[in-house]
Amino acid sequence: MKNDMKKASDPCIKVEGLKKTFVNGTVTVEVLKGLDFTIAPGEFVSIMGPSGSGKSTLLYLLGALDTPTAGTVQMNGRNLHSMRGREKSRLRRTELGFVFQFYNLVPNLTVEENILLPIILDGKPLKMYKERLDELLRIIDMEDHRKHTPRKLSGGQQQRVAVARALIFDPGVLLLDEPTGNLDSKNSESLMRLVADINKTFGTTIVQVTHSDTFSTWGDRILHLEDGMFSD
Amino acid sequence: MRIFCKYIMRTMLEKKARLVLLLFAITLSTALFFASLGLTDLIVESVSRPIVEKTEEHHIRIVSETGDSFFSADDIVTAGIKSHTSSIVLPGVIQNLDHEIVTLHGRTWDSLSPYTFVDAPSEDSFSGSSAVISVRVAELFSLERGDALEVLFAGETHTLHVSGIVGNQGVFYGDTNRSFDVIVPYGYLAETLEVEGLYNHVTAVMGEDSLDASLVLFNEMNPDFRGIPLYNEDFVASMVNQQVNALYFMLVFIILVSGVIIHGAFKLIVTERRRVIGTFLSQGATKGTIRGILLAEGFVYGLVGGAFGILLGIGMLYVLHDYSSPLRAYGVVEPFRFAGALVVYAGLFAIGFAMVSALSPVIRSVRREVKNIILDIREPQRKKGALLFVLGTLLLCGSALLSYVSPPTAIDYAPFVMLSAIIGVLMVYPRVLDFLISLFFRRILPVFRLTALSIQNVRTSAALRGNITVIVIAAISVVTVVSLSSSMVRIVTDAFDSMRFDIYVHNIQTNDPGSRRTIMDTLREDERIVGESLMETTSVEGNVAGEFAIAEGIEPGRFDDFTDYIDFTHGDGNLLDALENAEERNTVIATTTAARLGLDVGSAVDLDFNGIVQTYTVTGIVDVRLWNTRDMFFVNLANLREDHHIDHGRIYFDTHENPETLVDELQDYFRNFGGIVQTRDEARDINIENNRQLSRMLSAFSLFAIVIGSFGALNNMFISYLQRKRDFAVLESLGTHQGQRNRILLTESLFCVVFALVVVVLYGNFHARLIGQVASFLLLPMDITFSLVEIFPFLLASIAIYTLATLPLLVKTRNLNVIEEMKIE
Repeated sequence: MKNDMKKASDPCIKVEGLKKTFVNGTVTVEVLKGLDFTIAPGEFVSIMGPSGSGKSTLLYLLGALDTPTAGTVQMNGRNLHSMRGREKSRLRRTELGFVFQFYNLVPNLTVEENILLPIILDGKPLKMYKERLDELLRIIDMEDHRKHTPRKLSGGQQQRVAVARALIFDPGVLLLDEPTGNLDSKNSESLMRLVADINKTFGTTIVQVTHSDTFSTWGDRILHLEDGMFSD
Repeated sequence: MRIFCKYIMRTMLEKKARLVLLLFAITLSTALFFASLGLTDLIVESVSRPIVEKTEEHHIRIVSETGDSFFSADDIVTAGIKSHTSSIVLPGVIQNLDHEIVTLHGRTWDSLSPYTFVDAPSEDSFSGSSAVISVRVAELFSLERGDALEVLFAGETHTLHVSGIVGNQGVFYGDTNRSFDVIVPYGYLAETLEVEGLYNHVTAVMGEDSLDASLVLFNEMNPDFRGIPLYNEDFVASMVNQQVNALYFMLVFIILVSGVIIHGAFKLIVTERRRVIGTFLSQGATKGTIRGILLAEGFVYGLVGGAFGILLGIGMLYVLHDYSSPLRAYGVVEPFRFAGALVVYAGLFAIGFAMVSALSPVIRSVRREVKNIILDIREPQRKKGALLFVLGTLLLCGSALLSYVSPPTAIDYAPFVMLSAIIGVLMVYPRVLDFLISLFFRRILPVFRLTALSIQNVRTSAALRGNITVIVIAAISVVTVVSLSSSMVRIVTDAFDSMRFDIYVHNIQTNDPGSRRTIMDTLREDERIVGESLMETTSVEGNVAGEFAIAEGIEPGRFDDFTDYIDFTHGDGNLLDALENAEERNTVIATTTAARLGLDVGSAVDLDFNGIVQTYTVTGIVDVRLWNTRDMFFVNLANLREDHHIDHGRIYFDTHENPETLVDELQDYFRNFGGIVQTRDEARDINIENNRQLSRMLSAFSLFAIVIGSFGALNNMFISYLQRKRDFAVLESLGTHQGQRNRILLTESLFCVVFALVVVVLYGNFHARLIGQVASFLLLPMDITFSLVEIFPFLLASIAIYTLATLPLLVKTRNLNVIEEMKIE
C-alpha cells in the first residue's frame, strides 16, 4: 500500500526556486541556483551532471537530509523543509527510501536487522513485517545471507541490502545517490535491473543521481545539472 | 528494543581498548568516591569499636557534682540508666617486664561475672594483691598463674600476683605489648589508696532509647552526681574529618580528569560512528533516538563501571579498615561493615557521572545536517574562542580579586574560588595558544618545518587542545599535592624551630601529684639541665555544653617566651597575661574553637575536664595556626592541676650537654613512668612523618589523575588522528613518509604536554595561594608556597608519561591506507 493517496496527475515531488549556498569563512558558493521542476508519481528520473554540479546536494535536499537556503521541496503536497524534526524523521522512515553510494549499512547489525532498521526505529512490531522482509530478501536474492553482517558481503550484495532497507516501509519515493558508483559492471547492471523492477512492480517513484550514461537511460527522464542549474 | 540493546552491547564491545579506558575512568572515580564517602564511618568505627568493647558496652560515666575524684556510689539513683559498675581505675607502669603501661581496675569479684576465665579460679583466689590478666598478655609475656608483676602506681612499686587469666574481652580488648589492663581486687586498691568505700570510675548502661534522654533523666534525678557521655564519637569523627576532607578535595581532580576523559571517549565514539549515526538518521531515526542510544550506552558504561567501582571501593575500604584497626597486629580486626546506602550513592554517582560527561558530545552528535554527518562535512562554526577567553579572564580576575582583596570572603567560598580559577585557566589558554602560534608559526616554518606543522595542528585540533586540558588538570592536582606536602613539612619545621627547647618528655603515665613533683625535682637537680628552662604543659580532652573540648594547660608567664609560633600579642599587652592569676579562671581560645562553639571575648563557659566542671571566662581569641588540633582552650596549668585534678603532662627543657646523649640517659629514668624522651629534631621528624602519611595518600590520588590523564590524552590523540586521517593521507600522497608522520604526532603530544605544564607553572603561585585558602576553609590554615624546584621532577615525569602514551598511537597508525582515505566522497 503506497503512502501516496493523491491523484496520479498531481506531482509526487514539486521543487520551486530551490537554492543552496555554502558559506566557508568569507567564501560563498552557490551550489543550486534556483531550481524548479516536478516529478510525477511512479516516474523514474535520473539526474546527471559533472562533479560539483550540485546533483548530490539536490538529492539530499529531496531526501530531507539537508536544508535549502531558499525555495521549497514538496512531497505529495507537503513542504519538507517546513516540517519539524520528528515529522521529517517520520517521513524518512516511512515515505522515502534513500540509497547511498557507499551503502551505509550498520556494520554490527545482520542483513535482516539492517533491512528492518526503519521499522526498529519506528517502534512497530517486527513480526508485522516478517512477510515483507522475506519478500524483499527474495527480491534481492539474499535469503541465504540474512544472518550475515555486512562485512561478509560483497559490494553488490551490500548495495542490494541497502535497497531492501530503503523499501521495507514500501515508500512512495526511492532516492539513489550514485548507487552503482562503487560497483563493478556486472553488479551495477544487476542492481539497476532490481531498481527498474521495483519501479515497474510497485510503482515507486525513483530519483537517481548517476554519472553513468548507460544507467541514466534506464529511467523515464534525465535531468542535466550544470553549475547549479538544469541545462537542456 | 532487543535489537537496540544488542546494538548497544555490540558497539560497546567492538573497541576493547576504549571500553577498558571508559570503565577504568568510571571505576576509579566511583571507587574513590565510595571510599571517601565510607572512610569517616570506617575510621570512627575502627576507633570507637575498641572503646565500646573496653567500656564493656557502657555509655555513661558518672562523676560527683562535688568535684571529688573519689566518691561513694551508694546514693546513685538508677534513673535513666540500667546498671552501673563502680571501680577504682589507676595508671601504672610495669617494672619487671619492659616498662609497659598498665591500667589497674579495682573491681569486686561479682563484676567479673561477664568474663570467661581459662582456668576457672575461685573467688578466694581473687583477694589481696592478686591480678587478673588477659590471655593475650599471658601469651605475649609468657605469664602464668602465680607469676609476679612489679607495678609502679601511686608513687610506689607494688607486687601483684597473677591469679586468673581471662579471654581478650571487655577492658582487656585493647591489650598490646606496650600497654594493657589488669583487674585487681577493689579492696586491695582501696586499702592502698586509703579510699575504702569510694570509687573514681563509675560507668553505666543507658536506660532510655537515646544517650541524651538517658543523661537528661539521670541528671534530673541525681543532683549529687552528673552523667556524661563515656566517649565522644564526634570527637573521633572530627579527628578524621581533616583527612576525609583532603580526600574529597583530591577526588574533585580525579572526577574532573575522568569527566574530561569520558567526554573525550564519547567524542571519539561519535566521531567514529558519524556514518552510522547519519545512516540511522537517513532511515528515519529522530535526533532523540540517536541521543537516547548514545546516552543508553553511557548508562551501561556507568552501570558496569559503577559495579566495578563499588567492588574496588569496597576493596579499598577493606584495606583501609584492616590498616586502621588498632589491634591488627594481634589478629583483632573489627568486623568490616559499610552502610548499604553507600552502594546506592556510588551507583547513582557512576551512572550520573558517565551520562553527564557524555552529554555534550551526545547532544552535538546530531546537531549537523544529516547529509553533513554522513559525509563528515564540518560546518563552519561560530568562533567561541573570544567569548570563552573573555569569560575565562573574568573568572580568573574575579578569583584573584577576591583572593587578594578580600581573603576572609575568599576563604568562605574557597572551593568555588579555586574551581572558578581553574575553569578560568582552562577557558583562557586556548586563545593564548592561538595567539602565540599565529605569532610564531610563519617565523619557525622555514626552519623547523615539521615542528611548525605539528604546532599548527595543535592550534586547529580541538581534540589536541582537549589533551592540554587533561594535562593541565592532572598537573594542577600534582601541584596541589606537592605544594601541600612541602608546605606541611615547612610549617612543622618552622613550628618546631619557633619552640625553645632541646628535649621533650611526653606520655608520662602518672596522674599522681607526688610522682610529678618527684620527676620535676629530679630534673631540677640534674646539673646537665638548664633549671630555669624547665616548662610543663598538658593537653586534656573534655566537654563543653555537650561538645568536645581540648584544654591546653600552660604556664602563662613562660609559654609566650617558649614559642613564637602563636602570636599572643594584643595591643600593648599579651593575651596570656589574663591567665596569670589561676583563681580568676580565665581562658584564651583558638579562633577555630570560637567559631565552632560561637564564643566571644567575655563569654562564660563551663569546661568539664576529668569529670569536674568549672566556669571560665573567655578573655581572648587567638589564631593558633596549626598548633596541635587547632581547636583548644588555653588555661593556666595550675587550674588543671588544682581544679580538675589533672597531674600528667609534657615537660620541655634545655640542656648544657649534647641533647642526644642526654636523651639516651634520661630514657631509662622516664621508662619507669612510661614516658618518652625525644630531642627537638626527633620530635619534629616524627611529626613530619605523621603529616607525610596524609600527603602520601593525596599523592596516590594525584598519581591516579596523571595515569587516567595519560589514557585520556591517548584517547584524544586518536580522535585527533581520526579526524585528520585524510589530511595525513594527503601528506602521504605528497611524499611524507611514516617517520615524518610519527615525528608530527610525537611533536604534537610533546608540545601539548609542555604547553600545559607551562600554563600550570604560570598559574602555580596563584594556585598555591588558593590551596592555602581552601586549607583554611577546611580548618587547616596554612601558607602554601609554590616551589618550581620541588615540582620539577613531577613535571619531567609528566612529560615522559604523556610522551610514552603517544607510542600506541604510532603503532596503531603504521598502516595508513592512502587509497582508502582519499576515495571518500
